[in-house]
Amino acid sequence: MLAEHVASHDEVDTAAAAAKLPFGHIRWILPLLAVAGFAAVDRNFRSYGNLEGFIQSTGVLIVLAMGQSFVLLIGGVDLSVGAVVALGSVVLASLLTLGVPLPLAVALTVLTGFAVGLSNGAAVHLLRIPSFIATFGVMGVASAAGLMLSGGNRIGLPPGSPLRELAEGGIAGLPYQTMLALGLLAGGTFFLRNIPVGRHLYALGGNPGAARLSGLNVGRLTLFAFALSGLYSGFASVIYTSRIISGNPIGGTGLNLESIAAAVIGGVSLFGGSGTLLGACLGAILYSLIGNALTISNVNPNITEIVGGIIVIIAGLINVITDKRS
Amino acid sequence: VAESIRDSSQDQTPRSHRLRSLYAFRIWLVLFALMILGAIVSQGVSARPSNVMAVLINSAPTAVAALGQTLVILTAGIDLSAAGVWVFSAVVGASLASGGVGLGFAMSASLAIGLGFGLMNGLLIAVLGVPPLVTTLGALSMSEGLARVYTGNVPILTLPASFIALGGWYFGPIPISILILVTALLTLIFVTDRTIIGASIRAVGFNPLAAKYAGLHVTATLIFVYAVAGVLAALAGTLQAAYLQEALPNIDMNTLFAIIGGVVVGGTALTGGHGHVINSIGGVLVIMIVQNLMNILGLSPLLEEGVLGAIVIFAVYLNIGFDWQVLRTWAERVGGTLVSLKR
Repeated sequence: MLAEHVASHDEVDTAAAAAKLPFGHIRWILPLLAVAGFAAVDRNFRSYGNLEGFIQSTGVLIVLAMGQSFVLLIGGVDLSVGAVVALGSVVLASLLTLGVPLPLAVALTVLTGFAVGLSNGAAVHLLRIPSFIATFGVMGVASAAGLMLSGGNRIGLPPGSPLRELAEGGIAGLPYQTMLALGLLAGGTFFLRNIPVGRHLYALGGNPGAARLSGLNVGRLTLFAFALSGLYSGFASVIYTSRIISGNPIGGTGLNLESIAAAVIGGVSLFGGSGTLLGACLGAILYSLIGNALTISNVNPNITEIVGGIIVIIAGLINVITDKRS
Repeated sequence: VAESIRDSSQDQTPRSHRLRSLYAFRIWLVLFALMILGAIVSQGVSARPSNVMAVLINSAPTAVAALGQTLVILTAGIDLSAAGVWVFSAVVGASLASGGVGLGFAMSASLAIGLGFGLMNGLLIAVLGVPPLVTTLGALSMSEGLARVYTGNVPILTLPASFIALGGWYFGPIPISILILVTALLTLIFVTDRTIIGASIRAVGFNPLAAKYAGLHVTATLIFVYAVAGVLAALAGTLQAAYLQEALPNIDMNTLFAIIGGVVVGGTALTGGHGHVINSIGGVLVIMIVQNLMNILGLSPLLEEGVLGAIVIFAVYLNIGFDWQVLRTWAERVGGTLVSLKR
């Protein structure tokens, strides 16, 4: 019965979005216009080499934006994703340096992210701490863990490490990291659409009080959302490490902002209860496209940071305009 | 009987009030205990007058920024941009001063940057309704980017004597930074405890809708707190640059941890309404003493961020209270699963 209720809630959402068509689509139109403008003006931006580099560089953000979406869906926010990427990359590089086989090292890295996510969920649910401050604190702990583990230095991978293959190789022209992102997209989407727990995440974010009164296990759902965010951050850290071919304990800066911006550009509500993983992926691609366009147009990289800040505020603003509850 | 009830109630009311107000200022007890503990652990090193003075001077800028952050958190908001405004205003003030303009003009420019970012945050949050977290996260990125663009990502290391003097200037025995802190503190105590603005700030934090229906200016209150937070963060950054004799364009996450952590450790509730500006000074001092003790004991500075993060979580948890019921339910469930597995 609850599932039916949630389904009808989705339909109401769609109807409301359709009624506000011009606003609902600004979040797609604005970045697309920006990208089209760059493509028209700049030849480098259109080139194939750039496209390939772009696909290589955007995997981390895509996976992080999906992870962030799970937490945004329940009306929270995860500020620790950047620190998890840094910690995970240090863990992965250290394990590979110690000679641990790649599959085991990757599994342990992903598990590290999962564990950090679980502690976020525990802090939010068991200790009743608002998510932004709980994940802010965990960010400090995770980041210090990465720093202590690496002694504050980059950890280079041993020569001939199979991780390089992961970064550059692929099957039938499809890079491994794209396959990983697609797999995570499919798995996460299936979870959110077809598994009761996934659907209940929407219910919890849409109306926490009603969700609790309907008998949903709010604690378990909260743990699930944060653990999934940690898990996806763990996968993102594997992609990140394979790209820079080293473990970087201070590598995650800026990724918190970017993952939130990407998810919100992609239509995941900051207020919880609506949004899809596909939207978050597209949001991440659009966000990266803008950054990529700025970079190859020889814009000062520090301006990219300013633009990132403006984008997240504009995305929040559009979210406020389109969200019926605000 | 009725008389005795009245008597006892007359007796009890003031006492429970007194107890409650003592409880509200518990951070100073924690601070006192920490100082004694620190002196024991460091074998008296932390209690040396020179060390105490160094901690006080080092804490002053963070405490100034924490005062503004307290007002924001009292309205149930958050200002993550404090760390970015801190560096941007510091590099602008420092470079203007080394460019030969007067100290007064350089300081005004710094504070104007803080005011600008504060007003931008306030307008976006109060008028347009963008959540504080997202607004100030964006402002954090913008201000750090601006600081890097402005300096070309190079630290400003040569500061004029007049600017450095700002950090080393004493008024009698009192350093100027502590004088500024005390002035800001007294002003804000007056504003929050004795004026309608203070009442509005708490009311907005408790329940913005009720505050609106009570005829308070919610929008103006919110814009005011973010503007004050911006100006104080700018003042703090400039003071710190003058004290350290350098201005760096990169944000230090530990600064943000110390500012927000100081407020939270001071007992101000993130849900808004509860708390007091003076307690944030105690909170900042607790965090700074912990950092100082880590230095004295020779612990790795890499650990610092983790310790601060843990302190923040622990402080919020103490303010909110642990939910034993939830833990018990989970323990029972895990226990039950283990028992069934055994069978």
